[in-house]
Amino acid sequence: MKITVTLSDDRTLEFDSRDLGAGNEAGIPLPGGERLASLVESDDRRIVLEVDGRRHAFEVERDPDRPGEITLVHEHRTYRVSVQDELEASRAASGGASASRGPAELSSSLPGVVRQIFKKVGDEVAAGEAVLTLEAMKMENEIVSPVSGRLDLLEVEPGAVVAARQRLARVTPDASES
Amino acid sequence: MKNSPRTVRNILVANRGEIALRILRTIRALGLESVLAHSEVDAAGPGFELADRRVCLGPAEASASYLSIEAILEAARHTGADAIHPGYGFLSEREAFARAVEEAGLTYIGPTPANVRALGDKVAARAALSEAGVPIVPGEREAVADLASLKQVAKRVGFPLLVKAAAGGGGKGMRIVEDEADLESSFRLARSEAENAFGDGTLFAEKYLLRARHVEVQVLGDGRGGLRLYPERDCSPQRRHQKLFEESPCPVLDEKGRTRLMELAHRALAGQDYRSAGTLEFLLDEEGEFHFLEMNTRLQVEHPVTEWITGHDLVAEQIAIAAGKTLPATTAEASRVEFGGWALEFRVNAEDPLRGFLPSIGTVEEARFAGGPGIRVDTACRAGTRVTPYYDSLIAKIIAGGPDRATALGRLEAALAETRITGVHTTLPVLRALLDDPEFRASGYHCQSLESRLASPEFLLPAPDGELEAILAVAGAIAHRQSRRGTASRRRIEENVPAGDLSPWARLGRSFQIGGPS
Repeated sequence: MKITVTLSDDRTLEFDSRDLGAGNEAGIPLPGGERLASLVESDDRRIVLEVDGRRHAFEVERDPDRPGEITLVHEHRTYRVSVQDELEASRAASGGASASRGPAELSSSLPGVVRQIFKKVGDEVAAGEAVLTLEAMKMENEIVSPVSGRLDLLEVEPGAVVAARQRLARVTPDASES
Repeated sequence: MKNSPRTVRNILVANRGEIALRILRTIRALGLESVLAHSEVDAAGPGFELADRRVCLGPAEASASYLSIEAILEAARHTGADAIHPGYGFLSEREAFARAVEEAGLTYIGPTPANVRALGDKVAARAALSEAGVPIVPGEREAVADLASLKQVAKRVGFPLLVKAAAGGGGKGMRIVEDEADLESSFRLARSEAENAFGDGTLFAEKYLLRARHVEVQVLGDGRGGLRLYPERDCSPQRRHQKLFEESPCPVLDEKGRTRLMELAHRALAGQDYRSAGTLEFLLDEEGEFHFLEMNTRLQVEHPVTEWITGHDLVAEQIAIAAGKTLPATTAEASRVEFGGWALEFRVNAEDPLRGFLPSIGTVEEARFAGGPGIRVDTACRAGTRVTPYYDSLIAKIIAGGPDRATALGRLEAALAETRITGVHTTLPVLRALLDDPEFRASGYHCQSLESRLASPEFLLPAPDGELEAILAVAGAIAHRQSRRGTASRRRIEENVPAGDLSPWARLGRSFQIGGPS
């Protein structure tokens, strides 16, 4: 399978996945064919390459929200690599899923305690407007609605202790636009 | 049985994490006994193991444990402690706590309740110091009771305005107000944050000085007018008024400026009979003028840099003062502590700098820290440490010292290379970015510098050079392939793939070059 990496100046590099660490034959030549990058160590969170005797260790992060991107941390510096394989490329070419215009659920990515609630069920909410505040790690954070619409669900009250990604409220966009 | 107020033999530490461990170490070094008062989720870790005795205060929520005066006093009674060290944060600047400890017949290792009332309260301190002839940041000397009063201050002092919690510290309960439109929501949020963090929603407002440096003076008093003035610290690299990096001395202060600063500090505390450790915080503006900000009547997070360049153990000094040690009451000049060399400190927080510094909750898998000449790491974090949402996100402090700033920076750079923490996100990439910034290396930052750099994506997402980019591409392709195959186990792969025409690339007749002819 072909794997394509897009560089910062939009040039691409192509790899055949069979050449990438399939066992003991892990040599991967670099520009000019003169130097080799050998795969020394790999698991789902760390890749260590050796080039010219120098080790390069990368911490690997994958973000489900950014499927075409691999985040690599090298010496505490973060880099994002755009990667695509031929299966993804053909899927993308045939058109992606249309954006959902459904209700927006509000949640916090962090556990915390609900402090202030500014809206009640039935209120209109503007995109970017704060619906409630949540205290986490001694900081008060505003939870804002990403869409304009009506608050049709509120599942917490001040003082409620909430878990990460727990649904706190829901805003349903106005049905006017197409 | 009531102890005499000077007995300091069995000290209860009412705190957690790195500072509890740090205090326990000095207690042990002095040959004294220690008790660690901890919450249910802190019943583990190096501090827990080092203390002679341990008492559980209550559940994780700070209000039920580290902020519970009754629970702490009960813990002291139960373990026969004769003194209490509050650490920083929590109750360390609460007048009621200092008083309760003393009324219980115990020795409080910190200022007197009167000191806290006069100097720890931000509004009172500004008024007192202004009376004493110390320049303060332009603003309202009194607390802002309501939105209308805040509007009055804004009209008088102008924007940008800073709204702060009177009972606060550590950057919490502070809001910058850029213009009239933001006043109401800033007032509301600052009040709420202040109530929740400090139990007191009182606010005050002052002018927000741009491009100033945060410069502070560590003091030690004996409660009878005797005073020591330590060399200043520069804590300018901040984000949302929380310090990320501190150093001592200040890179842009000359001896003349230092002398002036020490005179101001001395004047600020004249007649106050300040006891124990405290820090006077100032803003150094672009004209070289100092403006008093506030005083923290406790030990601060960044105290290690002062310890490094003076050789003093500030916790040991606090204990000695509490046990009755006196200091000479003399001139500002004669109260100054000698120092040598330079020290830097970076705060490692469990936060994801690429997601708006979102606190990272989880279990630390690996925690590897540096060592060697001039390196000190204050941390209670190790493999297995659980980072919970109940407390602040500081998990370690990396301190590097040397005979000069350049040496200290070099050592800090080496320490960073050796440091590895996995399992939670950390702010180590910010230290990397600071050390990569030539301006930071030359002379440090002013108070807005870090935030303005964080506003540019390149600060934390630097562009790689050509060679690194090629290597990254290979690593990225490998990582992608792993995702496809669901590779999860660690495998060692042998090296020694021969160069030239035996390589799989040459065999397949395929080659690629970056920046060269195809």
